[in-house]
Amino acid sequence: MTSSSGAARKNLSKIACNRLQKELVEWQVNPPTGFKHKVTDNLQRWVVEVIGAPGTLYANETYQLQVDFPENYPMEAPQVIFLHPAPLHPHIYSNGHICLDILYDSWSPAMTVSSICISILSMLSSSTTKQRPEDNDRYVKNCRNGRSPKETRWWFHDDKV
Amino acid sequence: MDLVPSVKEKLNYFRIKELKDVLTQLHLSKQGKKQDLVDRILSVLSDEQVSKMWAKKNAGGKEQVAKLVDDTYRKMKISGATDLASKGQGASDSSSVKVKGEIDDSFQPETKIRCLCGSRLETGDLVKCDDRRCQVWQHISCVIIPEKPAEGIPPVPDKFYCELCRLNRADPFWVAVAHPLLPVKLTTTSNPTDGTNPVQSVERTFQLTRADKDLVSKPEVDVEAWCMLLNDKVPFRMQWPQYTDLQVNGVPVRATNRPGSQLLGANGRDDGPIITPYTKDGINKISLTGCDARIFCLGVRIVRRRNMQQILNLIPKESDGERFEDALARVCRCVGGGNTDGDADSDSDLEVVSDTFSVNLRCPMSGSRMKIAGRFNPCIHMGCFDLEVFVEMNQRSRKWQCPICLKNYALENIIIDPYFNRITSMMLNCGEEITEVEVKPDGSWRVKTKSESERQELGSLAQWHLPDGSPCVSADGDFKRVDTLKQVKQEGVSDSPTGLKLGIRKNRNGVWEVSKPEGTNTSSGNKLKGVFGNPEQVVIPMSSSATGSGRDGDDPSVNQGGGGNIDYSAATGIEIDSLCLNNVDLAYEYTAHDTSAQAGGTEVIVLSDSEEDNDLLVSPPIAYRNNQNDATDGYSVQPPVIVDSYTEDHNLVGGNSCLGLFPNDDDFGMSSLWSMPSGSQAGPGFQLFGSDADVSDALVHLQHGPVNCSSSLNGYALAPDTALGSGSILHDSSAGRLDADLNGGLVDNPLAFGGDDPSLQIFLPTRPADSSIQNELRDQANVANGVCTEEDWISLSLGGGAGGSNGDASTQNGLNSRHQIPTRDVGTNTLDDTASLLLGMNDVRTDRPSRQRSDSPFSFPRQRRSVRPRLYLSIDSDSE
Repeated sequence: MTSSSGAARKNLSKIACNRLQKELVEWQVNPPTGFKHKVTDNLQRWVVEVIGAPGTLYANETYQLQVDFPENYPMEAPQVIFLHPAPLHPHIYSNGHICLDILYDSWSPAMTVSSICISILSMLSSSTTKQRPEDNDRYVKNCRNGRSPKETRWWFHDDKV
Repeated sequence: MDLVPSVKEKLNYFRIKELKDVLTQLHLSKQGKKQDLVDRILSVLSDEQVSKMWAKKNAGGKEQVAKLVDDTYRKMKISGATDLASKGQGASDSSSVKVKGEIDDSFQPETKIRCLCGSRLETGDLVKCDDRRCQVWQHISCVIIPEKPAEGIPPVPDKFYCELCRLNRADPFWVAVAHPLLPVKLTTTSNPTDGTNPVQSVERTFQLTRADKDLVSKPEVDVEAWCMLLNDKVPFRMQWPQYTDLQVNGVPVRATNRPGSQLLGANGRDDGPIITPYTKDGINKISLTGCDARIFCLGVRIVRRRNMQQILNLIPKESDGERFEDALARVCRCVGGGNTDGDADSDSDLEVVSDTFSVNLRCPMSGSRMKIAGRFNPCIHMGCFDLEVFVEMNQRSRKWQCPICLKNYALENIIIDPYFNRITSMMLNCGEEITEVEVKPDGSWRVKTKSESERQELGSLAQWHLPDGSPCVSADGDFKRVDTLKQVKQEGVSDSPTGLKLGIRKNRNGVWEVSKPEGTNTSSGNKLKGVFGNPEQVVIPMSSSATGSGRDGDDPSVNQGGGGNIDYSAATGIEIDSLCLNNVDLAYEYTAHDTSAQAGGTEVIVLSDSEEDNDLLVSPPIAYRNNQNDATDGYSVQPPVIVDSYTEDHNLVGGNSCLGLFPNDDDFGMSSLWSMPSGSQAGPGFQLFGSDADVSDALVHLQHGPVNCSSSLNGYALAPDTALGSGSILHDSSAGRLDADLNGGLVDNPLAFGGDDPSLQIFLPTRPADSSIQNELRDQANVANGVCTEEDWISLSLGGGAGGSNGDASTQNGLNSRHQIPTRDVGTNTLDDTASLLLGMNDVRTDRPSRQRSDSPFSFPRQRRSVRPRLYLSIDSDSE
């Protein structure tokens, strides 16, 4: 189940652990451009620094992504949110929640942290305006008690940005 | 560690009470399902952290745990708590017996009609469950639910499964033993007018007999309540309504962990709560209330837990799941089709010429190399996953979803991929870091290595293997590392009718001979020096089809002029039998490069019109040039290097090495196209020159001229079976067939190379009619064969040109050779864009052929060459 906060989370399964270790090694060997993994000893929560791609609205801006892995990753998608401050983007809420289908319904176990990162960067890069989603206030209010974005029923409507 | 099995067996007999006793004494938590308790005890015995933890507190360690279990077991038996002792054998045995046919037993005999409405009458239209064993009939109006209430009854889906069959597929780890409460629909009790969801509910009783209770007392058996959305888009899962309130005998039971208002996403799975503790002998009451507009059904079943091994046993054995040929065909299609690589960009203009594809054998779930390659049978992609990891993960996630294409399936769709499993099982002993293999479009493969040392470590696995896993006849060491790129450029073709025929061959002494056309093909005995053609015909042996387009000038898309057809039959080494140039002025220049010094004895022929082209290549160790009339026409032939792939062909019966000479008249519209006929896929790696109608004429012509094609294939250099035959033909080509193909087949699509191979490769090498090795021309060079004939064959492959010719046969076809011949200087400009044809086999070793477009040796210098059509022929000699 998708518990909302890290504290109550169950430990990673063995498979998840192995898989994450492999991903980490792979990341170290071949990190996606524009991303930096901030080293911690917590395999279950990664913090990744994102640098806006040059030539886009977010050039030279740095944001932080927090990736939390569920117990049975990769069968279940990790929870990915932007730490404060979240970039201004039509699909990113001010509480850091990201409306991106691969993080929810379209997640596939074949994806990896680095493929997620690339998707997010591409989402940022293709944005033409820096603005919050229209329903930002309502949504953020709804999520006040630390709800996970994975409990949101997302509606993915825009394939352009 | 033999403690574990014996303890496990005893634990299977324990009731919750005994389990809790043991856990109490171990100071461990007593929370959770029965299975959790068992697992917890077992984990103490295993080597994991728990045991360390516990061992700290309690010095006794595992032995003590085992003793504890033993004592408890004995106590239990003495007290006669259950009759389990009499059942003697392990739980797994008994369960496997009962598992069979449990569904049939429960309802099928009773009635053919079982419906949610409870009626067994044949009222209204019926629909039958597609499960082979179930085949129950249900009322369409009861079970087929439209997406929105307004829509009427939708058509019956292709595959209809009743709720029980859907349930069985939802989580194969729980198998139904009995159904105390068959599914019933929830009914709407209040229909609010304010637009909120209606409240629906159902309340039923179900009976647990004494026998049921006994059954349930076993550790692996439980009573489960389940609920399912009738028209769920994910058919095989449970789903509870929003704001579910479930009560059993008045006791609330938590059905799901999600918040009441949250809907179940496409990737979510609900669980069936175990209600065993709340049930009693006799009549039990269950009620469910929800607040949801959709239609659900509720049921109660007695389920038995299966373990991993039992699930794995349900998956058909490798030999039973899919025929190897089917798997191979899929791989060939995926590899040859060019679009398999998800990450390969599909810029058709830059279609890369690649000879091999890297396939990563990592399981997408675990990230490690697969041990047993599993897949869902209906999937069209060739990606696999590690079977055991997948099953284990699904034990928790219950998704049964293909990780590659995300389609939802069920356990019954899983099979073992016979093709990849063969590879992964052969690689079982390889290092963990080795995860990639290279696969040729014909399905042959080898383990991909990054360094020489790695290669040596791997030994034979780094060599090419046939699809069935047997090693290809190994090429000798000379072939290793020879990466040659051949470039052929045709500078101009004179339009004079008189043909110039040029044959070059290396005789046994190693001397290159150039023979001029005798004007008759008959002369070509064993070694046709490449002149086939009537005098008036122009034979162009090496013309690249690509050049044709250039000449046309007006039709850029026509890239590959048939006008120049080059046939090289390469023998391992060395002979170019005949090169016919039809240019009066010898417009062609052939430069041979031998890129690799290591080639040793092997020789490479590179045809190119200028040195610059060659720059890309390693400079040839040996330069061999014949300049005929003009300086511009150069013929430099280097000792040909044999590409392994070609080598197989070498054993021609005829011993004739034939260079493909196509007499080109102006009249012929030979458009030798490098078309990629779709049909060719069957043929592993061959590409045929597509011929269009014009071609056929030409061919016909050719046949006349050259006389007999049969054994030697002489006249047609290209014609040689391999090239000509469609890929499939190659496969099974027997001598007889070849002939037929040559003669008849040529007409059809003689020149076309099977498009299977994304990189257009033209193998000119004639294939020996009788060659026993049919399938894989491309694979390994059969050194022995090639060598034995003194003549050497050079096969040239034509890489897909920049023109993106690969996919698109049609554009390529259609070229008329006529145009080509006449002009040397006519509109070559097109070449720049499209016409340049890369003939080349890629270096087999290139790691990512697809990526190399920009910087690869196959890119042509375009600047000043634009004027002339170019053809690059490369020979890939990387034979290993």
